[in-house]
Amino acid sequence: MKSWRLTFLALGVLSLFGKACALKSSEEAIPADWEQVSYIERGDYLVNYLGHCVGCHTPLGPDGRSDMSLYLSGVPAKFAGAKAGPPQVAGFPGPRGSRVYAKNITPDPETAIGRWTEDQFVQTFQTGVRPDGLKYRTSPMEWNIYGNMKEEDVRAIYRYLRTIKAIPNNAPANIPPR
Amino acid sequence: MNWISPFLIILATTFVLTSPSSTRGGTEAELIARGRYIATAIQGCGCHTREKPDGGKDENWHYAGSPNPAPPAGPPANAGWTSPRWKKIYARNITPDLETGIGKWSEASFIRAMKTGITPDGRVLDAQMPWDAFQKITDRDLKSLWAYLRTIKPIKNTPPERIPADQK
Repeated sequence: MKSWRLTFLALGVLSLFGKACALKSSEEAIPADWEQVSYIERGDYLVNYLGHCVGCHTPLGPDGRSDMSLYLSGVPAKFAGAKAGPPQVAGFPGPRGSRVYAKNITPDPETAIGRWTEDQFVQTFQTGVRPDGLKYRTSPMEWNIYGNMKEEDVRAIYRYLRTIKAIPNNAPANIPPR
Repeated sequence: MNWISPFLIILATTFVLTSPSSTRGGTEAELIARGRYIATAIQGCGCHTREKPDGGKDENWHYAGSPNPAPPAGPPANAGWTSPRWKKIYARNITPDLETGIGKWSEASFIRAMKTGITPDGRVLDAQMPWDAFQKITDRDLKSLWAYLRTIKPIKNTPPERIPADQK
C-alpha cells in the first residue's frame, strides 16, 4: 500500500509541475529558445546585458560609467560640436570628418522614439531606414548585424523600451562624410 | 505494485530534463548555432574588429583587436578608447589564435573573465569591456558564445598595451 501512496504522490507532483508550465506559457506565447518568461523580460536582458545598448546610448558620469539618471537618452545635446572625448560625448569619428552620435531611445515623443510604433521599430531594424526616411549609414550601430535579429527579439526590445522613463534630449545630428 | 515507482521516477526525471525551463546547455552544435546568432545579430562584439577607411568593419581582422601600432586618432576600434583610468585602452584579440588570441583559454576561464573581469593571465579588464553588464548574461548564452568563438578563424595580432591615465 505504501508504494501506491508514493505513486499517487509522484503523479500529483508531476501534474502540478505540468500545470505550472502550461500556466506560464498561456500567459504569453514566447519563442522556445528564450530563457526569459516574457517579451519585456527578454527585452530587458537584450538591452541591458546581452546586447548592451546601454554602453553607447547612455551618457557617462564622472566615474566613466553609465549615468543611469540619463538612461538611454543618447549623447547630450550640449555636447554637439565637441571634438574630443569618449563616443558618449564626442560621437564616433568615421571617415572624412564624419561623426555618429548615439540617439535618444527613451519613449520621449518629441526628441526620441516615443511616437514610433512597434512595427516601425521592427522595420527600422530590418531595413536600416528610420520611419522619417533617414537611411542609416555604416557606423558603430551595426545595422548589418542587428538586421539579422529575429523579429521576436526586436519586438522584445521595443516593448521593454516602452517601459523606461522618457527623457527629453535632442542628441546631436550625425555629421556626414565630407 | 512496487515495479511502478522506479518507472515513475524515470518518467519524472525525463520530464524535468526535457522541460524548456531547464538551464542545460544542449549539444555542441546547438551551442555553436546559438552563439553564432548572438554574435551575428545581438552582441556583435564590434569593438574587437577594426574599421576600414570607409567606416565598415575590416573582416580580414575579424575579432583580432586593435592594430599595432594603433593610429593616434580615429574610430576607437582602431585608435583605442579612453577611460578615467586609462589614457588609451585597446580591444584585445578574441580569436582562437594560440599565441596572441584566446586559444589557450578554457570555457571556465572565459566565463570567469565575462563575469569578474579577470583573465587567465591575471589582467583585470577595464569597465570599457562591460563585464559588469555581461556578468548577467545567462550561463547558456556564455557557453554558446564561447563555443562559437572557438570556431572562428584564428588571426595573429597583439594589440598595443593599455596606457595608464597618468602616463605622459
